[in-house]
Amino acid sequence: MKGTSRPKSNSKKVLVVEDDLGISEVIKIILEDHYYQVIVHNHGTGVLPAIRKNRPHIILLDLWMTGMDGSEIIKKLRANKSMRNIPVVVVSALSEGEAIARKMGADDFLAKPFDINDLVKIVDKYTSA
Amino acid sequence: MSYEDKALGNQVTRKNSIPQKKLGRRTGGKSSSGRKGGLAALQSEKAWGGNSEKWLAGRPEKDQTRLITRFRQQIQHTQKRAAALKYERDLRETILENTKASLAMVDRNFNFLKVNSAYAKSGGFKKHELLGKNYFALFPDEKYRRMFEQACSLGRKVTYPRILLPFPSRSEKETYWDLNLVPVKRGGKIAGLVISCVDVSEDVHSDLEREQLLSQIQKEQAQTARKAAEASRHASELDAVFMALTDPVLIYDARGTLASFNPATLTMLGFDLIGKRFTKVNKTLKMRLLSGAPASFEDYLFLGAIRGKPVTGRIFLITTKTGTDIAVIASASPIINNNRVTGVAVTLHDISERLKLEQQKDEFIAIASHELKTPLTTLKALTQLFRQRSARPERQADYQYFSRFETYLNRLLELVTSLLDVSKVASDNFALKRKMFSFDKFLEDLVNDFQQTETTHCIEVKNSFRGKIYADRDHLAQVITNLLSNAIKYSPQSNAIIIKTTYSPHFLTISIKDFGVGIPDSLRERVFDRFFRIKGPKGERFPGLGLGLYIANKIVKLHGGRMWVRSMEGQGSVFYFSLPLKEVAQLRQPAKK
Repeated sequence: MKGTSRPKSNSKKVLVVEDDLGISEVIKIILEDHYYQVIVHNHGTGVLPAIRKNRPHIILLDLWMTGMDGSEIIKKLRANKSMRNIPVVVVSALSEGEAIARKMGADDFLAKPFDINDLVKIVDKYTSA
Repeated sequence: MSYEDKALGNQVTRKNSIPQKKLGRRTGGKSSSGRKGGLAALQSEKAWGGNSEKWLAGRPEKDQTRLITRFRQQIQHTQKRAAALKYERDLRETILENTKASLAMVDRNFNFLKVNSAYAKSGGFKKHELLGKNYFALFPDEKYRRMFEQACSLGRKVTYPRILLPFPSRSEKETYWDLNLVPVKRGGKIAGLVISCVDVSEDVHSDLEREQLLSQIQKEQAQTARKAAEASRHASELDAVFMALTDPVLIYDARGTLASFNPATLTMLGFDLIGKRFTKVNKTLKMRLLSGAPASFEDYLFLGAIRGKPVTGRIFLITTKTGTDIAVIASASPIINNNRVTGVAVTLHDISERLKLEQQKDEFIAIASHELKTPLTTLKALTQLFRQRSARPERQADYQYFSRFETYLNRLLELVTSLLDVSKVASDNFALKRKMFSFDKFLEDLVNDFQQTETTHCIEVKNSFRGKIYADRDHLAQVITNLLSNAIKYSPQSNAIIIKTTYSPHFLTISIKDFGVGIPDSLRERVFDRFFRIKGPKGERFPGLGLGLYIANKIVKLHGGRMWVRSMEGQGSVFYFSLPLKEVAQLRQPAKK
């Protein structure tokens, strides 16, 4: 339970790009429970500088945000040599979110509302390598 | 005849006195010919002056000789005259007897004096049955009496044309006659009537037939004229409708050439395509499916309808002369004349606006669903978080509360998902994501998950199918979850649900059985309708939107299967759905190698 077998100082960084404060906060709580280092970015703008600055091990990306659309972000990210290998998991409430995520080249998709175990599982999966 | 001539001559020679008397007596016994003799005798007596004996008596011999000579001469003359008269009389008799006309003579009191055979026969009598009888005793008819009296009083021939049986008749046959009444005068007085009847039935009948035919022809002419007028009215009405319709109507002839169209066609399309083949019309309008794929629109419509069956409700995109894209719903009807398809009428209806509205509705629902799900995401995650954090013996109560919290949240989420699904399913904007997967593992996991949050009912699984299926996993789970939720919801008094599978080479059939309120026969078909709800035996309402079965049925149909139900009111229901396995079998072969 709650990843007790993990080392307490999980050095893995998760960048949560999510404009809904409630969701970003709950994701932060859940992942911190699992000793992840969580950085929250609440706007569509300034995402790339935030990535560049924080160098996360994984990005959890919402699709519909004010400022910049998630798909725009992913496009730019993939075009950047130093950042193109950061795994991106799209987290969206859109019913066709999965299709969009695949189309734009995201590594995975998590539908909102999610089961918190699924959230942890998916983050573990892309950061354990 | 010659015998009578001789007899008459001999008697006159042998007995000088009153030969007419003897003659009359001798021949009197004979019915008709005797009468003829009597008549002739009367006439010869008149010629003699009626006193020959007185004339000879007391004359000198020389005178006597001279007188005898003269007498002889007179006799010879009389004989000749009598013969001539006789001849004439016989001729008349012959004519009377042999004429086709029916002739009779009556006296002033209308007793029959003479009838010819034709007359008697016409009425179905024998001559002797009529002779001497009174006409009106046999044939009491005041109308004829008046006619007879009139002829007598007028004293000249009166003709009544085309009279039905104007004589004593036993015949039932409908015959028509021209009736002539000729008064016979004697001594300036009317002594009787000659009645002559000529059968004109054939004329009358043919006239009647002609009249009937004529009236029939006139009737038919009138009817045809009426029909023509009606057709013309109908045609002008149709023409008015055709012209006034705001939807385009294109009329093709049997060979697929555009014969005519209404003004709305030109208004919508902008092209004048008259005389063009349907293939050319297609090309000009760039007929295509909504997806953009080329569609031989009228290939379907024209070629479909020309076979005699209407084609309805096909949706296409077309491009007008101005370059505007229009979505149309098109139908084609065969034009049938005398059981032959002589053309096709194609109608188009612009549904661009409707499609736009539908698209807006879809967008709205997508946004609404997204907006609803966003706060639910936080709520659900927090609830789950707190439940997990309270998973300790000393916080058992909290754990229970959070579990319940989560159950209700999931129900809320299901409703939101249903609303979204129903809009997608209704707009056929519902794409399946089919994959191959093991059915038994899938079912086991699904039921285990379901059972975890289910406290009232125990779900028993009887599955013997070990193969893989090719289906949309999430949506198939949605179907089964929905059927399970319904089974539980509608069987509050029981605690068992049975899931069973059967399969054939072609189909896998899954059934979910409950022991609940059941569905009345009359409503069985309606349970798959949108927003349909079943009430409990006491009229109680069950929670829900009435969308679950509608969506489940649609999902099964999209998989190429079908869903049905068997139910006994008060005993429970069994919902079945089938999934085709044919493609699975094909797909499984290489996987086994």
